[in-house]
Amino acid sequence: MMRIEGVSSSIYSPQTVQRPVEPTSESPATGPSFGEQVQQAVEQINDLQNQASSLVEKVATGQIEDVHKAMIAMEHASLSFNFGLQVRNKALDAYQEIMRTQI
Amino acid sequence: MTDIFLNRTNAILVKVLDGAAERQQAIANNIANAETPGYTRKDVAFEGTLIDIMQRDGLQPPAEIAAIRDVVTEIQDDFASPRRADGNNVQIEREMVSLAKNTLQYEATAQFLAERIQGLRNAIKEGRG
Repeated sequence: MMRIEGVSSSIYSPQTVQRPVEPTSESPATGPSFGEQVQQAVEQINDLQNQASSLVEKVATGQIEDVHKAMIAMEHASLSFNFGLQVRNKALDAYQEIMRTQI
Repeated sequence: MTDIFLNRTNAILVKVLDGAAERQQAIANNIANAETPGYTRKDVAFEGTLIDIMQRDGLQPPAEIAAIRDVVTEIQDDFASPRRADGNNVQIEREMVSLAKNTLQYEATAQFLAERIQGLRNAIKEGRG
């Protein structure tokens, strides 16, 4: 017969939780940090929005004839924004899920 | 105080819609009066002023938006076009081309504005709306 163990028995006991390794001056940083990556992504989304705005202004005032250029830029910006927004929502949900977890 | 709706781009789009709507009237007048002796054709020219403001250096957003909102989109008489013997200066072909161009501009601009508003609404609802 199979024995059912509570989840709190071994692996989730607070004593065995591994502490994150403190960053020391000796350990070389490998690539940009998570925070920096998030910031880069947000800046990229912002740039796309600005590019789309600029194209929309030019098409609306007749400086550029091609409507499709502004359309594509707008959809590109909108898609990137929504993707970023959903990643943010998921991250926030994950954080809240962890906060609700009973230890 | 920053207006969530009336940013630079939206102010321009609103002004272009005003101007294009006005121009639609002018073109309709011209087509209706294509055979009226002595009629002077009407036109609306606002893009030049708008582009000047957009390209002016060192104009900060609040002042820039105010300047964009102050651009006049009025129907004006066109005295420059050559007149026929009956004193009318409407060329019907030219009006038809203007009409097609103006309709496209209005529709495209309206769609841009609608999409930007949708984007704002989406951001306010955090994509869950």
